[in-house]
Amino acid sequence: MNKNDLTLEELLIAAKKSKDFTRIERSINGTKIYLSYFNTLVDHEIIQKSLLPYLNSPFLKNIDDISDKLPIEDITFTEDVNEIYLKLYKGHVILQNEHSPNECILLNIHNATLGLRQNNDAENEFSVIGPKVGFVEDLDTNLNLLRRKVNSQKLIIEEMIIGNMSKTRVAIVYLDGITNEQHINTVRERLKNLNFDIIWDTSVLEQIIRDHKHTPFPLLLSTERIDRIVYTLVNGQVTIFSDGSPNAISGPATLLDFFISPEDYYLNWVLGSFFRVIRILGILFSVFSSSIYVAVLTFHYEVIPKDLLGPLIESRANVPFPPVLEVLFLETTIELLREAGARLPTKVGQTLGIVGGIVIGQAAVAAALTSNVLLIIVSLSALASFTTPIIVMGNTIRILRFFFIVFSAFLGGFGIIIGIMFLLGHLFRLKSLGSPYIVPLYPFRRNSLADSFIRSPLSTLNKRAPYLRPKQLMKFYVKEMRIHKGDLNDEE
Amino acid sequence: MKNKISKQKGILGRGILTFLLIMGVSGCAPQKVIDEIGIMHTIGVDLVNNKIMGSVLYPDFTDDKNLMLVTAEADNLTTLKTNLDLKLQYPMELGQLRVLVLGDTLSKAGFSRVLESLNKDPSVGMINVVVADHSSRQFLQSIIKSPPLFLSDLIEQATEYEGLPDTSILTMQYQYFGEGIDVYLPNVKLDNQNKVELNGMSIFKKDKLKLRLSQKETFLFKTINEKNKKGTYPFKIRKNEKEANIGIQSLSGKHNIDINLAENEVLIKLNLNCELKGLPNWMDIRKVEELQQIAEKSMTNDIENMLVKLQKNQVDPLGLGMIYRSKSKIWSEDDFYKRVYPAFRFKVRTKIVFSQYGVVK
Repeated sequence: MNKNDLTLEELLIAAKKSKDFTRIERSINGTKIYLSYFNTLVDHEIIQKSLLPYLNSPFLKNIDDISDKLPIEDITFTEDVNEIYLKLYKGHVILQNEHSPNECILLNIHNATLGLRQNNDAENEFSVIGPKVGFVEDLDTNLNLLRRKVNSQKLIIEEMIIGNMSKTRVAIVYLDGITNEQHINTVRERLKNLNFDIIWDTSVLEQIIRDHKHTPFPLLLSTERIDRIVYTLVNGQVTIFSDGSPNAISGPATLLDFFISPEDYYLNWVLGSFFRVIRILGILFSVFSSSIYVAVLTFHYEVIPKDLLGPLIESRANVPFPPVLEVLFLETTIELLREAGARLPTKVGQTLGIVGGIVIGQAAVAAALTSNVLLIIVSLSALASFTTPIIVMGNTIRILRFFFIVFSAFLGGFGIIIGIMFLLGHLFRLKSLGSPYIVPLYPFRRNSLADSFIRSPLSTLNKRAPYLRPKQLMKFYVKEMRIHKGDLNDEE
Repeated sequence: MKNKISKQKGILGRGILTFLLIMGVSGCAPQKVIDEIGIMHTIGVDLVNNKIMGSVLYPDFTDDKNLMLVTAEADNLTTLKTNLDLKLQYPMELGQLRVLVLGDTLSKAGFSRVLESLNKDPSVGMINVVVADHSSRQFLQSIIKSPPLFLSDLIEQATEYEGLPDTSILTMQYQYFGEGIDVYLPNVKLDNQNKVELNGMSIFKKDKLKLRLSQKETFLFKTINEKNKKGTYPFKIRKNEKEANIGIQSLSGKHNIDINLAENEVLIKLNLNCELKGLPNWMDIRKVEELQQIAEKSMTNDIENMLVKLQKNQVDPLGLGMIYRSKSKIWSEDDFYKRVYPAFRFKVRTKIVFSQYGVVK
């Protein structure tokens, strides 16, 4: 918005420097009109079928008839240069009249889906049960998908334009009368105060508006799944969409939110709880297993069960390095494999997985660079780190592992405890949109535990999480549904 | 804004300082990398010319898991470790010690020298202590071909199922330092084919070996002393000039020991659930009550004899002194052994229920 001093003339001259800027001259009843647009942004089909023929037709007597007669939905009259500037670069056609060149008519002929992918499978956050549709790079499609699921006048979508270069449309979505205004205001203020050139993705937004800069933990939930976003909205969180990004971000988020998969709610509560517990145990294993290996093998040989002692010593006997170097070597190898796998095309990636996983692993043991036991521990913990439903959190888990390995290498079990204290201290400090990050655990909220480590039956999950301070606590009211044995026998 | 940045730098600086301090402190943490220490599983201690002779069995995992035996002599346990280390590739560590074998010379002279220095080592965990009936070195030599944890597993198994008393260095310390109870430990010996055999238990007066009980007596002792009452009890049965020896297997049960101060009487109640396995042909399985009575009578008799034997030898592994001490206002250990204990009369009430009969013809 800092181009306030620009006139329309200057704007058009500046635009003319680009090759894709087009200016056409036509006449309506003898009056000359000018069409100016970027041909890379507009939909040529509409221009040829719906715009140019009508301009030449006899229906159009007057320039003022345009809004009535043209079969184009979004038509605005304006003299505001700023608005013209903004909309020209969003694919609008400027229609000028030779008598009053400053009064412009803006026609929205933006080709919104040009070059965007059509496939919107939720590939990164796949679930076997439940919908598989995810968000795409187009904001309108995303909001359309959201509106389809939430059919309520409470769903409010606010839009603003952010990025002095990209002019990206960013949408704040919340449920009116449910979401606490404090959260909405926080998001609104932070987005307003934001100053950035190009909003590449919502993940960039997340980094800019998050509460703490120096933390490996993601503070806002980022997801491509529709059901997940709807769930956060219904619970009273605020969601941010940005045009050009297939991920939406939601907040205030808590640590446990990142370990919850939508699939937990599609399975019955016994299975859902079981898988959730497995996932959390897996994450603990992933964070601590290699550091405990280092601590035990370097400092605390006393705690090894007697039957495990033989296999452990045997597998380590030929390894020339201390346990810590052994672990760091293998962990780095796994990280390299992961990183290479992520960068390579899918087909090559599969081959690499086999080569890396099996061949390198076996060869490393055969070459006495690592022990067999460690190979199992490290690959299991890598596997466990992939169980996090949100990928960003999986990355955090892997970083934490190195942190603990270093601590355990210096001080053994005592070092791990010190590391845990540092970690807890850090987690206690974290906030997401001003709310505590590890909330059902600290500050302790007993009532919110029903949907934390376990997933209680759906009928008991009829309250929103109180720590989000929703303006309406109940989601729905449970009707007593009981089948009496007598009722079934009545017909006899 | 500027203020805020400097504050953050301060936090970062403090973090780095903390990390450096941790690095500094860590210089002192002793590393014991698992494949660079000598893991000893079994240690035998003898007394030779008033010097402690330690024999250590340690597994060599790099080479076919063979057990190796190394022996050294010293005046005390600390120097013993040094003298052992001088003969070995890696320093010996006590943390994975499982069994301590007391040689006959040491158990007769008193084990306190060994126990009191083992007490002070925090890396020593649950160790089974057994008493050999001759030199422990000779004993260890005979199990050198077995798997590394043979002796430890043997003791564990026999304690669980075969009526060996459940002891460890912890119960030993409790009994040794506590008043009104005496130390008892399982016996090991070599049979005539030079194989290891667990056989009954030894009872110590203070730290000196006083009395050995047979395996049968040990099982009876266990039934009135521990919760786990598994084991077998053999007894004789005679009817119509026919004689047979029957073994019954005890499965579970309860016991209760009470001292009647006024009458100097120790009342022991014992209920056992047993399994009957195999009867001679001439016995009728339907007359099981008869068999029960015979078994109860035989067991009562045996327990009373065992208790009298303990009483005569002035040892109290059952902890009757402790029970007495909890009831009587006056307590003096000397007085108890001199005056009170010899005066005790024992009354045992045994009740046996055959809850399982095995396979019946």
